[in-house]
Amino acid sequence: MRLPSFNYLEPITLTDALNLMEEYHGRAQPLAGGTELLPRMKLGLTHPTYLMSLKEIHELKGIKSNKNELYIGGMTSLREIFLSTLLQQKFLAISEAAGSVAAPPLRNMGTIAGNLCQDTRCFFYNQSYFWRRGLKPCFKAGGNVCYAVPGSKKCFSVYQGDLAPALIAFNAKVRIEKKGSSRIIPIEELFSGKGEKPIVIADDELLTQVIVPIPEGIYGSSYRKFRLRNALDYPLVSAAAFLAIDSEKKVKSVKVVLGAAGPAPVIVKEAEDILKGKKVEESAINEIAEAAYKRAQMVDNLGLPASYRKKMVRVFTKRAIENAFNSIK
Amino acid sequence: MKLDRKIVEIGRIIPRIDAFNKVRGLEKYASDYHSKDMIWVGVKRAGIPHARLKKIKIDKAKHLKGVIDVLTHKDVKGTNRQGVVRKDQPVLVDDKIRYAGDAVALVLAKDKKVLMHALSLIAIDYEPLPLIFDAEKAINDKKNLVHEDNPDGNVLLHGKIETGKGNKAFSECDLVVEASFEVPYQEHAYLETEAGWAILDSDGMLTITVSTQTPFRDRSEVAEALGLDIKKVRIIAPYCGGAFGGKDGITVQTLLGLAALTVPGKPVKIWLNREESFISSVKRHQARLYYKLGAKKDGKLHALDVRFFYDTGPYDHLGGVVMALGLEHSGGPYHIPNTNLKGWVVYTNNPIGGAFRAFGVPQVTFAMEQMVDMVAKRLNLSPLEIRLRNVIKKGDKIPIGTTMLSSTGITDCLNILKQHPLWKERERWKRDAPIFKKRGVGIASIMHAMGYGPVVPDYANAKIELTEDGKFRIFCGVVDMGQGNINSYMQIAANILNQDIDNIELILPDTEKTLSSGSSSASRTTYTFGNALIDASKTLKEYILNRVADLIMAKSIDEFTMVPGKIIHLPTGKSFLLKEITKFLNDSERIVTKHYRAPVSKELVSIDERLRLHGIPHLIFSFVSHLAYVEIDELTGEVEVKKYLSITDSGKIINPQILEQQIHGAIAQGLGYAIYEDFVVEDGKAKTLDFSTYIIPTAMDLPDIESINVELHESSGPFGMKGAGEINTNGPLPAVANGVADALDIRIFRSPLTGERILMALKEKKEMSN
Amino acid sequence: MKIRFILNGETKVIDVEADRRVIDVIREDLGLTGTKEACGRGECGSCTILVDGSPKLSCLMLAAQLEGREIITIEGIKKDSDMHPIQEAFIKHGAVQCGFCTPGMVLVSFDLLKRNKKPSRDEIREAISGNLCRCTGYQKIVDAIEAAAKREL
Repeated sequence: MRLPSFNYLEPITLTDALNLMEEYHGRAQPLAGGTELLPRMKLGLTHPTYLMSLKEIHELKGIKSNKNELYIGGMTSLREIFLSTLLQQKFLAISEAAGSVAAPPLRNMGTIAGNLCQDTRCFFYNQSYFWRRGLKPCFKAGGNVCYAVPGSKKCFSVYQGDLAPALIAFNAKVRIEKKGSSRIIPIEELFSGKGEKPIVIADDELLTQVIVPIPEGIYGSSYRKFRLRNALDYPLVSAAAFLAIDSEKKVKSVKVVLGAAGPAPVIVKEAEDILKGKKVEESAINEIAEAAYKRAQMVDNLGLPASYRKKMVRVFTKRAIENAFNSIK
Repeated sequence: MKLDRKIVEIGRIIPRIDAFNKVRGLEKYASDYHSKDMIWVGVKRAGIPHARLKKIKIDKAKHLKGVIDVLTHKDVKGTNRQGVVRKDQPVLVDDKIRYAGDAVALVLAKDKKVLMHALSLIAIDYEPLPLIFDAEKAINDKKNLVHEDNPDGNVLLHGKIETGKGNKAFSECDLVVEASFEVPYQEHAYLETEAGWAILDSDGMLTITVSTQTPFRDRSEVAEALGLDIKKVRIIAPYCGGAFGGKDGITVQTLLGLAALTVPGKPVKIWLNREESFISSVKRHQARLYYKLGAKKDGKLHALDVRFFYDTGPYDHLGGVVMALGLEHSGGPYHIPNTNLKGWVVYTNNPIGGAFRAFGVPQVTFAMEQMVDMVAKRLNLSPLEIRLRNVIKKGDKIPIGTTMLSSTGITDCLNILKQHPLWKERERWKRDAPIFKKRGVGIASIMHAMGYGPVVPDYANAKIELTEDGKFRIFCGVVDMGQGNINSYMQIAANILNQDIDNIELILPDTEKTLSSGSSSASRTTYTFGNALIDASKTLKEYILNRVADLIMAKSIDEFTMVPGKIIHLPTGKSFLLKEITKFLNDSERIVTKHYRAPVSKELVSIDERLRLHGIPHLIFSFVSHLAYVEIDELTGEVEVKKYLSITDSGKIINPQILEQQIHGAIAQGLGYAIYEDFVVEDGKAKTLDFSTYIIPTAMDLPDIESINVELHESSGPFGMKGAGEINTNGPLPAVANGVADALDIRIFRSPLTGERILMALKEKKEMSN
Repeated sequence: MKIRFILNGETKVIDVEADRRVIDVIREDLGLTGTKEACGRGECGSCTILVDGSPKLSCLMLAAQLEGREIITIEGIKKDSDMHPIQEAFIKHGAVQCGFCTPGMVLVSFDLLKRNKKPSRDEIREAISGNLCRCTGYQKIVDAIEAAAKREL
């Protein structure tokens, strides 16, 4: 499949990139790994006038850390994140999430910033021009109908990024920069919760870095992903769990986050109340899984029926918590 | 390179000749043709499933800069119709749109960018017609028709066969089991999408190089549809990047021809993208099947009633033949004295149902093999025991009432399975299931016919030449779509002529150079062409030896032996180089052509003439028994196949590696069909148009497969072999379904066996028991 | 725009539009048709090439991104002899049927064996999991890669 025409920009410093973002305000689409953007362009879902590759900006690549925080450059490849021993040892869920994306060649190309900023998806939207022809545009395509939930007033597309739930479980933040300024926000604030435009970044801004606080004490984490095949597929449901315990094995803090359960990652806020101060027992895990089940927003817009995917929320929430607990050393 | 290609005994591994180029990226497939002056050709597809065509608006596209021409049905000079059996498919739509993939217009452009733009500028005026999408219901619909001129309405072909007392025999049964089944479309998903390259030269010769299984049939179809003299059409068929039945017949050939006629002297190219391939190509028929099976207390199957409906979409393609083969195999490899078998293949506005490896048999096997297990369970017999008591032996009548006369190894296949550790240790393996997992073991037994059946001649013409430099050149008319038959031909010739494989050359199918030898399909390529080639090679050898004997005044050709590159006169020890001998032979001695036609069944019993025309009955069958170790996640319902065993009787083996490739590949496609693959169509519109929604297994989704061969000698086959390309496709779906039933005590009647369906069935079972 | 890069050991300077895909440049402009296209969306791995040594999908790369890179395609993987040991192993172990996935498979195995001298069968399956094959069921491909790993590479 061919690409539609565009102009190509390739800054080699972050400063240049931010200048260009300002100059082309709204018309320059940042290009990271291209594994998600280019297929959308081929389907005619987006038509950027300028494509700005960030691949040559070396300052955006690499993993660093100090005593308190881990820093991952926005253009760091998913492969590097997956293979990092530091992440495997201290941030297992993030490593597992990176390792679960697609397949090796795509992980070589895909980046953490690109993975976080990926668009929401829907069976009725991620289709070609040929397929959509003759249909009125849906909410996400700028129209006012929804094919997944006929009669609804909003878009029900799904955020299927793998990294975000795992990063949120670790209370990670992102640095967002524009010419002359920079801000740091918790990752959950990156998401609007609206399928039409799921990512909240201004037209002149770039996501340049992911910052993960290094947890103290004894903890474990896990990312569990439900998909049909053992490779390639986007998650149909996923769950990330972070669990810190004290010396008496009582939970100090817990965070459970769902992926592919709505237009943004879903934080299961009940987890803290249910588990904090208590030992990890099956009844409590079940209770969190039930809360997760209630929070998940599923409609029939991916490869499997919503009712089945919703059931899988329970299963995968439990698996994530159990695995997080078992990973505590 | 240390690979040994010198040992040419039959039954030994000779590394595939085609692999040497393929592995280096040097093999030139149809999609690889390219030149600076070429013209890109694209197809405007209908996009709607059923409508009367009013007007095609091409002006805007035609005037776009870079567009060379835009063609519609008005530009087609011939019949504008194509089809293997019934010529019912237009090259470019002229009266009605019958499915979303119909070709409406053709654009020729200087590059792909212009082409895409031009295609989007073409508008179609049409009057929508009511949709026909349920094959079973469409049978009785006399008002809404896909083809108004079809004498049987929406029924393309109906077949019925009754044997013994038919349904009356159910009253004699001790138990009767009934069930209905559904299977979806399966997409071939060959990696090389439909592609071709064509040019009309100054002599008026139209040459089409195309990814096809059927060059000679294509030539006739192109000539007829486009109104050309068949002598002015040439089809060249390189190695295909996969086909599996999906390139059995016209894909882009006529469109390429039409485009090339418009721009004489310029090469034109079509290469469908994945989505267009999925929209327009043929699929394995989706089907609904109703089964009723009766047995006696002693475990003998006694009566079978079958009704099934195959959805063939808008065009025949090979739908009638596919249905007939399904009907012939609907009772499996069992001796059932009383049967009543009915099949319908029906026109709808869904995607085209056509040829796909195993050709109508996987659908009925899904049903029949589960029925047999259900009967076994009621009788408290093991699935293996009931099969051993009922499978056919040579001389038995098969369920359509004809006699099994070929080598019949199904009992051997089952006996090997019975002694195999995977069968013997199954209970222990099941007990060792991890927490939240359930394990089951399923088996299936299958027969599969080879060749075209009693009426359409199943022939091949092999030509072999002693070249001027003393080598042997085979002219091969049957396509190698990836299965490696080419290599087997070289191995056969090398063996007979006692040559190193390097002394054998091969010309790939080309209607100008090679001879018509039928399609690369029906598990018949090695059998039919192989037999012709054996004859040709032996005759050539005899000519050469006779010539030498005459030259040196030897007593007889028995005094000679042929060795690589030369001939030795044994009494004197003198040797004669083939490159010298060849000078003494004229062309009619150097080049030998032999024709072979496969034997057919002579039985006429209970088969009506239309079914005979569509291929029933067959004479030669292969057999397999399959075993699957399946593990089910109780919480997600997902099935994982942990181990897989196949025991095959496809006669003697020519090259064990190539045979095993066929076994593995067929099982992999069968497991995809069993667990993942579901080509979803709603209201005539396909919803699974890429590899993220139509999912085929990755390397992480398939088990290692163990394969064993029975190697019975089939006396009619080349070196005792018989067909092996398709049969193993049939086993995985029923074997896995039987494994699921073994693990969970539930039956899944609709494939694929998804986690969702399994959880649902478990829930129903729980509710029933409450 | 003018682009300079190394293709299979040879420096190339070509003039291309920035928005062309790398696979088209390689196949159409440079005539190397060993790199295959089977989906065009990053879902099958047929178009895999090595970019600075690591496997990437050329259908999701833009011509402009070739600048300054070292590209190896299937045609360039051989070392001194006419075939790389992985290629020999693919032939010997029957890993090739229609051959359309083969170039991509060979290139990802090349990358795997560079990183991991003794991969397990599961590791091999993981490494080729982004490369779809419709003919083989993968088993003989895994056999071939396993065999290639046991030789000197």
